Amino acid sequence: MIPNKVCIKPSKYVNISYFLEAWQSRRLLLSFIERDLRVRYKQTLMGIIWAVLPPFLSMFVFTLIVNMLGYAEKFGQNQEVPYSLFAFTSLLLWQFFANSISNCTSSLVSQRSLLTRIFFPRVLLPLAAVGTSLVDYIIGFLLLIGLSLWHTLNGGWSWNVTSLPVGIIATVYAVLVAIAMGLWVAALNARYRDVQYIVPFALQMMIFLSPVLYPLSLAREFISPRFLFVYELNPFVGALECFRWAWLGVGEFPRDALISSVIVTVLLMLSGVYYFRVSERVMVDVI
Amino acid sequence: MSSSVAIAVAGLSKRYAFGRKPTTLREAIAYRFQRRQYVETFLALKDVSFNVVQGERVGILGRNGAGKSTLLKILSRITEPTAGTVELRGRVGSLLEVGAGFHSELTGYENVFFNGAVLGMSKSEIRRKLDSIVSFAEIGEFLHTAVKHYSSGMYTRLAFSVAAHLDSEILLIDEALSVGDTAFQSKCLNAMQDLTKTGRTVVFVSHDLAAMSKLCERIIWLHKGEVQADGPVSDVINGYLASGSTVAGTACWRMTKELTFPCKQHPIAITGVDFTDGNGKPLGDFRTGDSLNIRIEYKAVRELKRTNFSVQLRTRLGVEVFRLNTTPISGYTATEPGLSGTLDLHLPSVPLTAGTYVFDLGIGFEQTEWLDYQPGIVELDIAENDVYGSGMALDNSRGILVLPHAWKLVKKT
Repeated sequence: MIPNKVCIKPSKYVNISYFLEAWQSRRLLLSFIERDLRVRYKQTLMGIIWAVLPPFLSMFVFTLIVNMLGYAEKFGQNQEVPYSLFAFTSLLLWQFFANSISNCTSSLVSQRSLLTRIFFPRVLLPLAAVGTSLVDYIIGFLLLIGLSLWHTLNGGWSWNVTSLPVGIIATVYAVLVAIAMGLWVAALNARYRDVQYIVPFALQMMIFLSPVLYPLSLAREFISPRFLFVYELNPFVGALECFRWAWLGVGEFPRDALISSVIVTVLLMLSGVYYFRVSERVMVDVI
Repeated sequence: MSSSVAIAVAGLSKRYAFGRKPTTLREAIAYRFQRRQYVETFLALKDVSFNVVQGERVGILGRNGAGKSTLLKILSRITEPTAGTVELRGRVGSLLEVGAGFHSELTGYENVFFNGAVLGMSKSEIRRKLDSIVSFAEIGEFLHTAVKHYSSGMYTRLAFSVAAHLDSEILLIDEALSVGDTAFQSKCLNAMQDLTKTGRTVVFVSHDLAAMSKLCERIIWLHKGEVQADGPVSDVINGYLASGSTVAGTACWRMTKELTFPCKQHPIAITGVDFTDGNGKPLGDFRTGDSLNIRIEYKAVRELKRTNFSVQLRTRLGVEVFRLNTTPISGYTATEPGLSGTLDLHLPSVPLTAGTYVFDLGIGFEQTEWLDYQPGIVELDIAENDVYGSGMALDNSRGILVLPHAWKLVKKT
């Protein structure tokens, strides 16, 4: 038996061996994530606190603004949920999306010297970008549990511990959404650097075009049914709404939004893997 | 494919595109609708086929641009071929460009683990080899210092050391890999030679025919992307040398790589270089003290301002002999070169002793940025000459510079 037989040929199509190879290098994925985290917190004063600081501070800012505008009750679903908790739940997931996607955008381009010098399954780079953001998210998730307990102890809203597994399932779904979008932006940016300018702007707009600061029910009131489906095509909508429904225990189960969100995610994922694979072939020569 | 074959290459081709490639979305979209397609392609490898048996040591020989590095890049799976297949049996290790993935913020220790992981080593394997890696790299107590504080020598030594410690059945080596100071270079060469003696399959790329004939049993000679010859060392080397004298003719200067084309990243590019004597005649041979005319042809994608042409000459060991540029050193104004043109640099006398010298040519934006930079693009052989009229031809064992001078005995008792 001869180990590690490898066949190199021009292959346009995604085949089993491609996935097999990516799966076999999962330990390398962890090395990538570990390196990214180490690099990120080198020479920082607050270190790992940076993982939770942005959503935590944004929570205060958004709570302040929404209170100033007098929408806190409405957004917080008639005081069933304290708005600050509503905001933190959404912002935590939003930060995960936003970080994943902006990390993915630069994941290939910033590793140019690695890509042009050594072989490894290229898909590990965007996956590691999502993985790094996921570590931040998990730390933030612990803070979310802490905040939920704090609110429960102070009365007004009580946390249902059974929401934990559903929250985790929603998180897994969010990871898939992030990977699907991440593959696209990573491969596109390797070819067309326009993407690195589009993405930050798009993310800035998407925070308002997704139900981050307000519940989906509010969007449904204001957007005419003809255009509502366009709004709900955004895969973040289903993921965010589903996560909040699970965690905060308010509102209805967002069935329609989730269905369109899942369909879009599946399409994005399939096309993303295909596009990534196709551009992977010439990536080193054009990057 | 027989079981003893470690590398089977069949019909391998690689096509590269160059020239005006669309690099932004706007260009890509516009490009789709253009009738004339500006992208030019060239085949870096044309239908290359060969087999390497397990344990065989094969050298790849060829001039610059013959496709050697493209072949190594495909074998190491960095880039995919355009056509053809390669089958590899066994783990592939490469000493092509070391230090891939080193991060300047991380310590040497952290980088060893990450770099090792990328090369395909497990954590336990790296832990086991750590002492050996560190002692080979001679970095000692700096292991836990961020590599940004390393000297460049320490950095490359550590990087080479990690790569050299990968156990692989197939080893790809590019000898052009320049590592650290001279002492460490010879240590690396020894390490490479030791690695090749462990029964592994080795593919070795080098310019050094002596090293190649020492290390390899068989040589594949690539010429313009095609296999020109494939066989026992002495036969192929003899053929290569014989062809070299006819190709190079009597010319004493040569280009060492392909020129580029102007594109978005390099809005102006050197598209032609010609070395002639002071009267514009082709150089037959060039002797110490002869006059030299360097002609640079260039093309630009748009009208540029504040450009600056630069010619630098180095010895083969990298010692800078001179650097001349239009502004400010020479005070010559050629700052608005237009869309294409030709520029001459005239040297009435080149006061350098015999040897091979290397030219770096470049076009910069003021003093701040290279728009096109071609290090080592031309090599010039200077032949011995009796410049001082003493009847003795000078070679560079007596220094590289010749000077007008006069001796005079002023006192004698």
